[in-house]
Amino acid sequence: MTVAPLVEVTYFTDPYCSWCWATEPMILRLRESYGEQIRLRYVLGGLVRDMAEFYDAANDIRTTAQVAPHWRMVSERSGQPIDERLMEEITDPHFSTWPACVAVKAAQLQGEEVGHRFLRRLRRAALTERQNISQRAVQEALASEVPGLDLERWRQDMEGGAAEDAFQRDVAECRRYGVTGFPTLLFRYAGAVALLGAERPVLVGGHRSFATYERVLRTLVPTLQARPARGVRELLRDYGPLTTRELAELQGWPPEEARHHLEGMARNGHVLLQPVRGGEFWELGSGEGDGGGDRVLP
Amino acid sequence: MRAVLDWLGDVLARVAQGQPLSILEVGCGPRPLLAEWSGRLPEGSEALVLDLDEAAVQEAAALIPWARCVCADAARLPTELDGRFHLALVGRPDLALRPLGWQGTLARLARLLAPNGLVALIATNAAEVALATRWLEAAGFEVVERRAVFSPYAGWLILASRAARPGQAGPEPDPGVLVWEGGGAMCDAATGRCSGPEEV
Repeated sequence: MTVAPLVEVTYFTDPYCSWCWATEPMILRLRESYGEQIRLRYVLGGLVRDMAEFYDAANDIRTTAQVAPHWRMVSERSGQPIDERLMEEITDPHFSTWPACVAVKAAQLQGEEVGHRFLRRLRRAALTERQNISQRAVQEALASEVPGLDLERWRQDMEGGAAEDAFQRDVAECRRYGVTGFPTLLFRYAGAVALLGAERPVLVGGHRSFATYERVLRTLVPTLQARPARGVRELLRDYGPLTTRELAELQGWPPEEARHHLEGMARNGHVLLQPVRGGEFWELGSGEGDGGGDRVLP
Repeated sequence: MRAVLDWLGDVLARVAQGQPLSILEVGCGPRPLLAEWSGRLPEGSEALVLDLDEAAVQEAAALIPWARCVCADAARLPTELDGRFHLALVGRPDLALRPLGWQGTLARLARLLAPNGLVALIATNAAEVALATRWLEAAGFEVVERRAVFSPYAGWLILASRAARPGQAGPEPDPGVLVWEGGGAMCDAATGRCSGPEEV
């Protein structure tokens, strides 16, 4: 049975945004915990239109190379792996994140779920695989990996202007809500019955804990029911590779214990370790069984 | 209040870059914002702190003896001070109660500030943001940052520059939206800043 969502969560983001990558564990947990009770929609804000115009006064960042130490800092503070060397390798003085935003919109035109999968694939490619996702060839190769994405339709929407138009609507939506920073989430009650205290949408700026996002949700709809976490293998089957930090968030493990749990599963062949700079991903292993060591209670 | 002080701390650090600062605080009340930075400003910094209420000025002077606290109207400061200040702080101005007075003050700030000088204005609600933005722009400032905060002390933070590029500020706030308390680190396209208070 399909349940009408009670809360619409608009996520203002950019594929290159490092703090958005840091927030990925909380976004995944929101999806997992509240399922059909919430509708998560992505609005692409366009972090950098042209690097030549971009100046981070606080950190004196004028070039992509100067972004690299910042990415490292975000990785260290958030626990999400990031390979900052991509920023050192990009030499285009007019580097822009807008082409990647447009590519995401082309995927989103095929549905929020396809859009979510492609956005996550782009984030992973840029922030952990040093792939320049502003380049069309890279985008196309990654799009071809996304289950359910119609590549021919994606190309048509990229070339016919539909994706660009959708992105410009997103930029206008950012302006409408005064959003210039990412991640920013807008929570809006979407239920059919008027609810006292839920009349005004709530804007939450910046990288926050899952507890904060949950408090906002429950402020709007106190009766929301969180679902129990699914097993690790089921999550890996649905989402593809996940980081230690993400699995810790999804399973409710203390971050310092998560790796220990996952290494135990790896010894049984249930998961595979994929080391990357600044951390690791875990992939579905070929080991038999879906239960057993799959869900390890803290 | 913490979000406001964090933001002001960032602004001060950005303006100072280790050099002595000349700061003007307008409408200081009994507890000036600068009291939070006593002993923490770069050596050689100076401050002129103003209010129209004499009793408030006396209390302020007791808190920040290192600053010059004066009962005076910023709009009527002598021209000898023109171009002297790197930063003007305006905390919770009663814009709606004294619209003409504040228009005059903001216009005067445009001359009192040095080239590239900044105005940091703390407003309590969206209506004040709209007024402050209009009057700052009329005085020749560009609003370079507009940030909502959830705090009993303030609702909005505005940073305006005499030498900003157009189109860099955030848009007008939507007064129909509630802004959740605190702040989180973010990548900000408007200001170019990728940091901020960390909740996680």
